[in-house]
Amino acid sequence: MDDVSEAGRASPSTGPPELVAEVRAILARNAFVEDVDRLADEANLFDAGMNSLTAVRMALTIEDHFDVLFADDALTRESLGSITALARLLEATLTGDVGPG
Amino acid sequence: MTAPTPTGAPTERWASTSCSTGVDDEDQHIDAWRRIFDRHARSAALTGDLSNVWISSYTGEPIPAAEMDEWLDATSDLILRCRPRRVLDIGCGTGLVMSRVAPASERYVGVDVSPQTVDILRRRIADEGIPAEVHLARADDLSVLAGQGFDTIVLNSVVQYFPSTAHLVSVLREVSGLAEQAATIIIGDVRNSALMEAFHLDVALARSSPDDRMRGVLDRAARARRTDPELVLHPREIVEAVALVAPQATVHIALKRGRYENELSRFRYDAVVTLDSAEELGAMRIDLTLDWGRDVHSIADAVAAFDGLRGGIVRGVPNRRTGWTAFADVPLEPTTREFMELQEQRAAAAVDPEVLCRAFEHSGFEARPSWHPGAPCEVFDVIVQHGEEQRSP
Repeated sequence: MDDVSEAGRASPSTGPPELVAEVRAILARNAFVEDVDRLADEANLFDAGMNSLTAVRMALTIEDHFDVLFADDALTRESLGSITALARLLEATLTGDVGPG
Repeated sequence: MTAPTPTGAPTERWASTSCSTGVDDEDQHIDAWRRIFDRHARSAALTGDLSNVWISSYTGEPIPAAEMDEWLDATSDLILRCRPRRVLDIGCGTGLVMSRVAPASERYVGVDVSPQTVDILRRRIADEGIPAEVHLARADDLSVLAGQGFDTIVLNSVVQYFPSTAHLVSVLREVSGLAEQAATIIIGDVRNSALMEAFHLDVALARSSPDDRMRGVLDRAARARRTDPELVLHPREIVEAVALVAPQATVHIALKRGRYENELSRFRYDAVVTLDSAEELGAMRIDLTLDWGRDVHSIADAVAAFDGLRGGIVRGVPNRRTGWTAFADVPLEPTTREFMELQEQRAAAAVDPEVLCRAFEHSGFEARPSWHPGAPCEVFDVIVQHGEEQRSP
């Protein structure tokens, strides 16, 4: 029982695994940061060399890929700061928790 | 790294077409960057007070404010030395250069491709009382300024977002229609394609562990070089682009002034285009040309050699800032720690351009560190001219 519910639930702390994987693939494909393969899901992307303009470029690419629109004020150094955080932002936007501003 | 700090190719949607050079693709490239800059300008929660901060590619940390100030001072000085009266600032962004240079000029006009950025700058101009105006325009269509004339035209940290060298030529053509006869065009903060291997190697080194082998570091650097989305230009390409539009002009490829050593000072340059080359060359006094390593071997000797002279050139000075400039040169087997020791040995035999320039300035000369477009970029020249204040008391 416990195992099933654990696996079936998208944990708010880690982000849903399938979105994490897709975000990771987009980052790798576009090389928004170097050596994505060596980065943990929680690793800080700004520490890995990303700057704010690249962060915006990355957000736009994710928007295009999933056909969503992030609210301007939802783009922060936290929400774009790791693969996990991006997956959480994406999930919240897809499920309407954070609508386009 | 870059200003409000970019490193970016536009988005996936058009990335696959970015290698072709059709007009449609160029428009797509420019539109993609416009969209990025628009969104960047709107995302105050992301950029906030950091919009004028650049992030170091080496560490991911903001470049120290003192280094950014020195970079901005050097850029402003370069423009102010032209004694600007009517300035056109193309790609003015949020007004970094404008806020420093506009108060010293009669008229200052900025243009930018991003509507949101223009809105923000208009508010800033009003709030801070900056004596300037700003228009929404693409660099290759300045019809909004038709009939006006400018003596100083600035494109600072802008050409890296251009889709191609051909686009730079179109922009120069458009600009030349607004340039007064003796105008100066400053193409600032250009990423030097001859040093891009060195740049990416440097970044990969900074992000490696001391015991990593150089082979792996070079692989990472080569990968980063391949995915670098911005336009990089060899000094020679700038010279050729200018020659197509203004055959009479001279182009001076200036190394960055400043005591700081970071990616801005090492791997970028400012191209200063003087349209009326007769005036520029007529005013230049070349009493002596020295080759470093043959005629002189030290800074003190070089300065002493110009004692009593009006000016000249010191050529082929090994550049402390650029280090290993080509992958072919780099040994594969050592660890990064061993390699960095080798690098320091090399640097010890080389000259910091800023130190050389200041030594000349201390003796009353103006000094301009330069890359000769035909020479390798691991060496530089310094052009020295005795200061006017010394000639006329």
